[in-house]
Amino acid sequence: MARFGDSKTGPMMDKFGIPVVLTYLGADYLSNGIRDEVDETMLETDTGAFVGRTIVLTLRRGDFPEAGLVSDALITVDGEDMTIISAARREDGSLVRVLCART
Amino acid sequence: MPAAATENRVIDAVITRLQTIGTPPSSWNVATPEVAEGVPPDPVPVPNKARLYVEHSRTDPTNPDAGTASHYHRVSLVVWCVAKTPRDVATLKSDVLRALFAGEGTFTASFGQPMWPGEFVQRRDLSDAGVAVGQQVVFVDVELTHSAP
Repeated sequence: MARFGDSKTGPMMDKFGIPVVLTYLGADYLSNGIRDEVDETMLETDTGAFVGRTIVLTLRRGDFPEAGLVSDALITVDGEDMTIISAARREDGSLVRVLCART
Repeated sequence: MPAAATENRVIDAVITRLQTIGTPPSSWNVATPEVAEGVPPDPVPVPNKARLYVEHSRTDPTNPDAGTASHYHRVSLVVWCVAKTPRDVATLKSDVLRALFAGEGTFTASFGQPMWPGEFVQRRDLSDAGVAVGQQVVFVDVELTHSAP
């Protein structure tokens, strides 16, 4: 099923994205995704604050099997091994927002 | 030089006990954790080992109506337990308490009371960063002397 913006997101990922590889059921799925990496204060304490690093991948849903984008799955982002924390559909379902952490 | 502040002496004593985690002769659930005073200024790394951060939380009078000859206060600290999953955090917390219980004699000799465990709370605040955190309160009731408050 074609989704709104499909014709735009592909070229956008190709232009601004970085290579992402997901191995699922023995097959490698390779495409481009956009990575955002942000440090932010996540927990205020009595004397300071814990800062956490959030890594968010934006992927085209059709490029990867959703069943493989699950918590604790391994994913390679621009050559770096990461673990998926969670994945959720965005927009009209054409994009997937994947939270990751370095392994 | 006068004695160090009571709160700082309590922190030092707790850190010394926590640094025994993972070391013989006792047996422990986790390998030697990193132990530090205060929370780290940099982003918390995704845990490849357990980490403990100790900070002073508050000091409260426990007998405000008593006379002026003695001053009893409760010094509360927070031991932040950082690990990969909430289950790992709970395991780490159990070793924290094990270490503090094993130091009862030391705490009593230094402060007149053992170190007591307070509430423990699992925090989800850093879960988007792949980090699990637990908040363990510990406290000791001390008499602040005029020479070493």
